[in-house]
Amino acid sequence: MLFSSLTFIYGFLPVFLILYFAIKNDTYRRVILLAASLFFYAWGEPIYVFFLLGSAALNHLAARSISTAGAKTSRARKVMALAVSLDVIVLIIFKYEAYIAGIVGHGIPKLPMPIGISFFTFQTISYVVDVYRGDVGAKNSAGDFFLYIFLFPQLTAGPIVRYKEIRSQLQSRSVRPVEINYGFYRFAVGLGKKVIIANNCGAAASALFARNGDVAWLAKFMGVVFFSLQLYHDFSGYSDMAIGIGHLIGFTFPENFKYPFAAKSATDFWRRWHISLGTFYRDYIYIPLGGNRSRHIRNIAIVWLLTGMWHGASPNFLLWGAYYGLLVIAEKYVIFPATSRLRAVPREIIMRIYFFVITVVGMAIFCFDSNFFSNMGYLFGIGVTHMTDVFVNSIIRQNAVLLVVAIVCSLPVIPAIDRFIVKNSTKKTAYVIITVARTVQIVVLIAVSSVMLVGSSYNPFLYYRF
Amino acid sequence: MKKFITIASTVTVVLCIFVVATINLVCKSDTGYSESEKRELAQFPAISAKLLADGSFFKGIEAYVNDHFVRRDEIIAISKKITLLFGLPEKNDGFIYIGDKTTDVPDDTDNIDDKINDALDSLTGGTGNTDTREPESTTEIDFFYDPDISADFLPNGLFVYNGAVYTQGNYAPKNLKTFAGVVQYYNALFKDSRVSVLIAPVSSMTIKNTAITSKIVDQRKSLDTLGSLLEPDVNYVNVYDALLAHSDEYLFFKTDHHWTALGAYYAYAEFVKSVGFEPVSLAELEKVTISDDYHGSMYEYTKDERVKQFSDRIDAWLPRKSHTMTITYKNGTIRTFDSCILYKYSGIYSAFLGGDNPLTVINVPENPQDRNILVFKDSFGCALIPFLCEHYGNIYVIDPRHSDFNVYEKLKNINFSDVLLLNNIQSPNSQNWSKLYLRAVGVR
Repeated sequence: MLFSSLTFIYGFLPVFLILYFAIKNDTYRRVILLAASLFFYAWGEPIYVFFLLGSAALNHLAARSISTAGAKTSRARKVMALAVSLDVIVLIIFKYEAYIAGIVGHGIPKLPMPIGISFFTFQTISYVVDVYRGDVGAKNSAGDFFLYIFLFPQLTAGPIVRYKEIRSQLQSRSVRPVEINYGFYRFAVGLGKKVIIANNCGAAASALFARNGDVAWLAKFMGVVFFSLQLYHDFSGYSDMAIGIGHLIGFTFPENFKYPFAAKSATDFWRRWHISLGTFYRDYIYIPLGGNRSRHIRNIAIVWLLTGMWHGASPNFLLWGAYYGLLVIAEKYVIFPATSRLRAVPREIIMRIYFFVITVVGMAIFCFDSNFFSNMGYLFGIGVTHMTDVFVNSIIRQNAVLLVVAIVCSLPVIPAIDRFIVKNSTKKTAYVIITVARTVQIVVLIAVSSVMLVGSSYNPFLYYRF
Repeated sequence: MKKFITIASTVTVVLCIFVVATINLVCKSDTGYSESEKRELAQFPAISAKLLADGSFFKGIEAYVNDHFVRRDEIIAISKKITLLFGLPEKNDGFIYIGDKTTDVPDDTDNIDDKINDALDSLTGGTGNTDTREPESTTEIDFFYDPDISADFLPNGLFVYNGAVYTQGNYAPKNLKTFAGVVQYYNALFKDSRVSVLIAPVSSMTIKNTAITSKIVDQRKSLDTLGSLLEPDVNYVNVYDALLAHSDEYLFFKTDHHWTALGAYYAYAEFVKSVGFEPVSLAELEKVTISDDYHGSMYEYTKDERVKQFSDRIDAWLPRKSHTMTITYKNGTIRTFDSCILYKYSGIYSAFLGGDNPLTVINVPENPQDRNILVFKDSFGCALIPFLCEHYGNIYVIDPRHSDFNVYEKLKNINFSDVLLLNNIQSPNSQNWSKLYLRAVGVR
């Protein structure tokens, strides 16, 4: 099931909230939560849900065995290695089988991928490794673990949550009205980002890319721009919805996006984009390999290649990872040192232009998973016959307001407004203003999103591949 | 105060969601069919183990919810208006590109050309033996094929310009070659008839603005290419120039993808001249107005407010010779009418010939009863065929999308002086139509 669907907003969510809040008992609440989560997942994957249950059971047994053997012991290490290897192998099979079958051709059936397998797998891996390291308490019940793994807000599209981040919340949660408000607010914002902005930016990108025959440069360039906005609002919107629903039931999930388009460098960008993936690789790959203390460049390269591969099977994703890896290395050893000697204003301008260019190119690499070389060529003017034409101009005109809104909403405007209000009024007035403003936003965003959901059948879930 | 505001906020939001959810639960709309979308609305799926296992039960519920949301049509209209807010107001030249949202028929990997060659070989005995008219074998092929999907797909998108909606033509040489093969087969199959092909261009041919015409499909090239691929003894009627000469007249609808009866008339004139008749002049026919406020397929397809402002008039010229039309419908019922233009029953394009049906027979008693024509057509044919009542004793009309019988076998005993393949430019450029044509004469 998708959060951005009428069935979820007006079916699953109300029923779930009634059941959950009607029961006050912690244990029953956990049962309802787990049952609802399994139902939520089974809705989209009625067969694979059993596979995931099996995988969760195996991982839990492995963790049990590790904690019995003792943290960081040799036997525990063997079990951990086995469990993690199995998890990774299964993930690779699912992610790459369809791609390879597509290349090889007829005869090989394509294995459909379980929704959320990447997020799921990374969470089981993080749990097993954390138990091995002794970071996570030894006696975790199966119930807690299963609840952690299957929690419906973040099961299908993240953020990637670590067990110890929500351990106490798994046991019992109390929710105050202010947190419920905030939860609805985050959910509504995410829903609006996905349905109002992302879906329509995607439609604009498709229309621009669909132009056959003579290629206009502006079609490719603006296509990448709209695609980037779609990608950001789709993914961050989904994380917002997950975090929002989490708050409704008393969970605090980590932020996954911090206005990445306001970054000034690739390094900065990756501290703001899909943060939970970055920290996962940092804690479970980069630091264990030696981090920046030994074989620094190799470690960076490995992490970035893996980052690329996580996003997709086709080669352009690998290239994307390598691209950012190279940029990060270049920035650390060349670009930052070189620009640090400039004065503030020129440096700011240069870095902003630099960031714009590398992001457009980076997004293009991510976007063009077919006809890669000819499409990248078009972006640099190779093979284009003209700058723009009536059709391209028309598509851009029809989405000009959307473009501006999408860009503005990807920048930290709301936090700036909040800060302004807080600075210029008493604490109580600020609270009232912000709460009222947010309530209006919530109602309007959910209403408009609902209208658009009814109005359209085009509701692609970009990150279903994960 | 803080607490009050917090609670009030929560209650407001929760109330909104729950009220909408309850309304949807309680009010059941009983419409099962969407007029504007021309499709059945999704019904609540029946529970079965199979549907549960492959997930389609749950998807079916979601489809049902989406299709039966309370006040769905009004909400869709609002959502279209909201979409207009995403863009800047229209400029004076009024050019608006509307992308193609139809699911295109997927490129099929079956090689139809081989099927055609096989069928031709068995028809002509392989090495030029043309004695037998019967196809000796019909190869059973697993086509991806759904007879209910409309083959009038809209590649390259539509655009709005100067008060009308335009469709673009199509130019797919590979598919034209396949279609030429189909025509070759028909030519061999109906060897005692004169086989003609008339392909109608679509509305964008009338545009003069070169900024636009340089960026759209060149329909003249498409039509000329098809002509060059056909055998010399096939009567290819290229109507492009005939229509171009009248391009300032009302040849195509503004809100519908069809040509008007006037556009069809000029094409008809070209056809009958090519088979040796004198075209009847419009002045000799009685003109009726079927509708003076018609919003056709392009409005229904886009539900665009800007398109709604344009309006069409459907004119028709009634055949002057008395005739009857007998329609065999898809469900098997047969009805006879005293005119092939049902303006008394219908105010839309399907007044022409009563729409698209499996088999339609028009009988004109005062024409020679042995002068018969067999027309294979898509919906563009409907506006042209009435003019043929001037010349033929019997007109048999087949729509390959809807006929699920072997036309050749069924009409074997009738002597056709003419066989006409009458389509709009999308059809020969689509693989699907070639398959439909083959199916119509038993090559599966």
